[in-house]
Amino acid sequence: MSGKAFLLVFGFYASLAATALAQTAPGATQAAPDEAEVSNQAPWPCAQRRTPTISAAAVWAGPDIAKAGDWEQDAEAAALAEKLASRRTPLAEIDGLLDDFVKKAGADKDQRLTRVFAGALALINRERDHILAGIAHFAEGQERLAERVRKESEEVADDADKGDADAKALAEAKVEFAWDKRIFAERSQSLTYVCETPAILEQRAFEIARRIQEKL
Amino acid sequence: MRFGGRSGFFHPGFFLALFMLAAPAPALAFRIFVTNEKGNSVSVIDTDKQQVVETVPVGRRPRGVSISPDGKLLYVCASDDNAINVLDVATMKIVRSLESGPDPERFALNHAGDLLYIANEDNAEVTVVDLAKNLILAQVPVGVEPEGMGLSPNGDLLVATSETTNMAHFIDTRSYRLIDSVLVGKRPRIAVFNRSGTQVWVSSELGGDVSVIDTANHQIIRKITFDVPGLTKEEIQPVGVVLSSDGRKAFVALGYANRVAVVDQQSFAVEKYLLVGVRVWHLAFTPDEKLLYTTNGNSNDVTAIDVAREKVIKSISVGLEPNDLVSSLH
Repeated sequence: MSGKAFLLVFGFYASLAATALAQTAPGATQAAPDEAEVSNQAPWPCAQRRTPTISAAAVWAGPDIAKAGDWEQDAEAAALAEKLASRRTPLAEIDGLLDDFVKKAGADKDQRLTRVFAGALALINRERDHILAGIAHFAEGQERLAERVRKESEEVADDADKGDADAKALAEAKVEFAWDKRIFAERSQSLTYVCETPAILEQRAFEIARRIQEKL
Repeated sequence: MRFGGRSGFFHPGFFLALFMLAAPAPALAFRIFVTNEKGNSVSVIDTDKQQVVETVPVGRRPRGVSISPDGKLLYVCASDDNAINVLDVATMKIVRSLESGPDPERFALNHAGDLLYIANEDNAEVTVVDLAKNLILAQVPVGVEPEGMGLSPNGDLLVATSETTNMAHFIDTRSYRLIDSVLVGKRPRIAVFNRSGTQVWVSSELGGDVSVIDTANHQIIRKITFDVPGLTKEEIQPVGVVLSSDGRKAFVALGYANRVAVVDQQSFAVEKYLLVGVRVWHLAFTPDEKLLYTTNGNSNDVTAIDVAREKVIKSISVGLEPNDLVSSLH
């Protein structure tokens, strides 16, 4: 980039800095045309389709959970639901926990097992909602970082182009650019793991539902 | 194979005598071959043990799978390798890889077992490959994102679906010419002929229905819809379809609904829903049609269904993201 071009770019960014304060979307961001969508639909960076709350019917063919009574009022059912929903509880332990519950569940066993399912599903959905919101928040952060990396890359290129640029400032700019690039890449990588989590929770909900239905 | 394994328990003569008395043989064990899209492998399930007995590596992103008419070779679409892997069923080793055109997703094998009809998702074509020569014989342009491939019982008619164009394309397999295109529900996936060849059933993932098309006049004679209480319409996404050869039942995998629908082939009435696993994509019968297996893409398992009782009998863990499956013939 020539010196003249640099001045143009510099002028452009200077005007951006001013307009950014006024909260407009600078033309430099790719996301700008989708602004309207973004406002009511948080960005979704995962390859996996964003699916809403897991409905009971998607994983459950047992008795109607609406007719089973409030799971939160059944202390034992609620305690078991919490244990089942927690990812700290290995799936291999689920059957044993359910068997223990069934032994002392009494005459309304099926109804109480249905409550356990309702509770576990509610808790898993709560965790899943948190994670979905976290992913959206993470995506916004990545978008901002991507924008900064783009700017830094241009600035470094421009400074190098000038020839007479301050060598120390250029070296510093390069280091900052390298760091931001690395952070961006590492965060992108961890995203692939984070994106798996909603599906893992859905698998867990299905598996819990299946095992409870086997005890009915 | 299984007799070989078991005959050791018997004196050969005793075994032969039993056989000659025509004593009822035990139900044959088949093997189900499951492609694991993310596991880059094929899981082999023994239908007697109802468990995975072997897992073998294949090309990248394996999806569609089919078996040769003599049951000796397994064909696997390795989508990300732009190839079809051919495995020897006896050794489960890749013996060769075939030209497939770009991004092969699913295919049909002709009844003689010497031609493959491949849907190339990326370039809106159906590729015809001569298996012996590993040579592309023809590329038939169809709609955008071709996917499902169904071959008529007499082998004269091929129906390919195109996901984006929402059509079922009728192709004459003698001339490789497109003879008709029928508009069906959104994002059509699988095309399957009934035993007599009078109908082709096409599932539409986003349309949420199955179109039954009369093969004589290419008219849709019925759109079968599904309604699972408590689920939204969007969650019901029909993909895999199999039709029993006695003409009585059809089974439809409903994707995000995590269920398989049992449908009366004659009246088109939906009779029952079976909860199987998360994201159920494809279905395959054993050759005797006593058992039906489903791939559940998101719970990484396969469900075994007793066809006569219409009941789920077992969930079997396989590799990552099971996609398609086929049974051994013996």
